[in-house]
Amino acid sequence: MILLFLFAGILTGTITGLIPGLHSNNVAIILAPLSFFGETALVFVLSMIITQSFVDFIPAVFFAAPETSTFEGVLPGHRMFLQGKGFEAITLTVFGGIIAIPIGILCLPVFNLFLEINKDRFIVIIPIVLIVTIIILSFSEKSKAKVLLTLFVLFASATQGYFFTDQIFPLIAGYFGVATIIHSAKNPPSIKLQEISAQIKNNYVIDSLQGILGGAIVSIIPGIGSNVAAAIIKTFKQKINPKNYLVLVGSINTSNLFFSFPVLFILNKARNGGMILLNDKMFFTNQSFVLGIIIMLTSCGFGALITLAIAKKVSSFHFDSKKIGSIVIIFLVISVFAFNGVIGLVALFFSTATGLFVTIHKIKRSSCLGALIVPALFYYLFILV
Amino acid sequence: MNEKQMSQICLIIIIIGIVLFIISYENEFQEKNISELIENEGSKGVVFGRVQHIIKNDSVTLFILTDGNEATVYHPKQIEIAINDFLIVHCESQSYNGKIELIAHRIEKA
Repeated sequence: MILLFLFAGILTGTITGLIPGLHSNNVAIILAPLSFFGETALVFVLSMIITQSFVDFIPAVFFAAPETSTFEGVLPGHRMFLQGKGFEAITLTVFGGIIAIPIGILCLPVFNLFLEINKDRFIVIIPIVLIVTIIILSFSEKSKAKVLLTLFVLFASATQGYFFTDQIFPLIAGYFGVATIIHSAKNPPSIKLQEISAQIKNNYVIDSLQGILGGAIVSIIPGIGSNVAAAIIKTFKQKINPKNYLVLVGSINTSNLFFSFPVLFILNKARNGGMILLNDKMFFTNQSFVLGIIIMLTSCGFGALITLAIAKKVSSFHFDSKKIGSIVIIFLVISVFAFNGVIGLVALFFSTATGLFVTIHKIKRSSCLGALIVPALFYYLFILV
Repeated sequence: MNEKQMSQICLIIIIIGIVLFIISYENEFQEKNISELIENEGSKGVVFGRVQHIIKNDSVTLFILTDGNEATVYHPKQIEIAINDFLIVHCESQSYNGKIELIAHRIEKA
């Protein structure tokens, strides 16, 4: 019986991963009033969120349709897709994810102890890291004009982040999705025939380990998502190979969700919709903790296999970039309206305009992250003051 | 490593996960009677009994369930029950003010 819930969770996670805008948090909201509880809820929710953390990258890489958890992978991943290496891009994110959970399990006692001891220090460290990130983002451009433009975009996106609270998906879809597609509509890129092979280098393990550390830290700290952590690491590293970066993003995304379970179990703090649902639906025992870890390990294997299989299938399609662009824009607009309403469409309009401004002036797209970083910075400053 | 070797690693992870699941998993809620739950604080089980008395049924539900032995059952939601209803309760025993109570995870009418 319990295995049925495992497969139902994997299936749901696959569907939510493939549809931009539909997130496991939406499913959690639907499930909240149902008489769905205990181990069945635990198995379903954990298998769903872990599977989604893998499948999520397929629309991001192949269709440049970002999710709130994958937008940092859109540009490098989609660029690889245009070069005929979409399958390889997906394989790299999958590699990051499958390393994350087994290593995460081995490191769990040490991480828990480390995070438990240092959780108060993070409150002080994080705003400093955010300020330094903003400074690096602003002043990494070479000309003064571009620095000024970057500051303007940071300010504009931060204002949008404040104004459109709880509208992260429309903002991300605009900055990283619709703007890119509209800009490339004039000169639609030629998409090369997709190669269905990938080579994983040994040094990618290091990126995955960095991702695990980033995911573990993000899982305990409110206000910062896995993509912001990836952007911070990228900003500090300055130059990172797109392939290494995809491994990093895949690892952070999966390990963030993985560690959110022990954080709920030990600290009783829920960091995402799935964990909020579990907090409401079950009493935690050591047995349920062990079951949860085993389910996440199993789902990680299934999620990775499903993602590779879907990516292989999608790679065999013949892509017409103009048609895909139009379909993705229509789909994103419908998704935004369905999940965020009219205010979501307004947020999408402004974020697309900001994204286009960034693309036209050739400044760093990560300056749009002001929408997430600046509100998070003020959140921490408010706590400290 | 290529994608085929990675798929093999995924299969190994799945097999390890399923083996660990089979070894470690035991059904959380097995049929028990009220006295078994009360004697072992923290134990879980499914009990079948009759509602003897309803103490509170507002934002939370508190009632006395009997199957020969009786226990106070707490459910964190309001539910539609009446005295003499027969219920199947998935619950866990916990101490409250020095007395063992049953915390209901799910309640069904028999």
